[in-house]
Amino acid sequence: MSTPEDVIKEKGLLVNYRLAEAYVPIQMYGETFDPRTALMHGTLFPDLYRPYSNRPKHSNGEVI
Amino acid sequence: MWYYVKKLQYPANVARTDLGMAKYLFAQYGGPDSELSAAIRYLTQRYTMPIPQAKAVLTDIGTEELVPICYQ
Amino acid sequence: MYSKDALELLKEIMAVDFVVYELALFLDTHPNDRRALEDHNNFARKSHQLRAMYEEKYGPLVLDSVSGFPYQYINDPWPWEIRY
Repeated sequence: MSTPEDVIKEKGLLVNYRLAEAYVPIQMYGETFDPRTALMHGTLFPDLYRPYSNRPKHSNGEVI
Repeated sequence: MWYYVKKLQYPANVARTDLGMAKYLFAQYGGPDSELSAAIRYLTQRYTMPIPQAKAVLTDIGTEELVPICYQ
Repeated sequence: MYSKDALELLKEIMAVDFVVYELALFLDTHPNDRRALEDHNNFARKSHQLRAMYEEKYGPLVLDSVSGFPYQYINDPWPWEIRY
């Protein structure tokens, strides 16, 4: 089972992560929602499904 | 170029009028950080892209950003 | 009069077309992904079938669809007038 990291290494995409530059990990094709669920969730990809919610707070009241 | 398709992307029911909500929606449609601005930005940026993947993705997300305008 | 059957078919088209668009966006940046392309093509085929079925029963979805007389494209309901 190859992880995304392995695939990136295989394809020679591993970069030397330099400071003060932004990087976006490449998306791998994995699980998908069925069409109705995808439409209601606003994405086909469970990896990208991040609904807003009341996030838990630290004891000092700061949002995690 | 674009064709209108007689369907919505997402099933939205218009329930009532709401001036406060209308102001938010108007900003989303046409304001400085709106869908419309984003659409035009993507569709213009694509002309300077050096690779097919970038031309394609900017064309298609630029088109997708126009969808909320088509709710009207 | 817009029937429950028409609405169900329209919603199915909306869901399938959303999936096609998502897969198309993925393929824009991953053109060599065979599995994604296969899924895209299957859903694209399904979309074409459903649209043909819908247009035959309930009228044109696009202005270049072939229409009976009088021109059917202008018929109500328009998408924003439907209760989903």
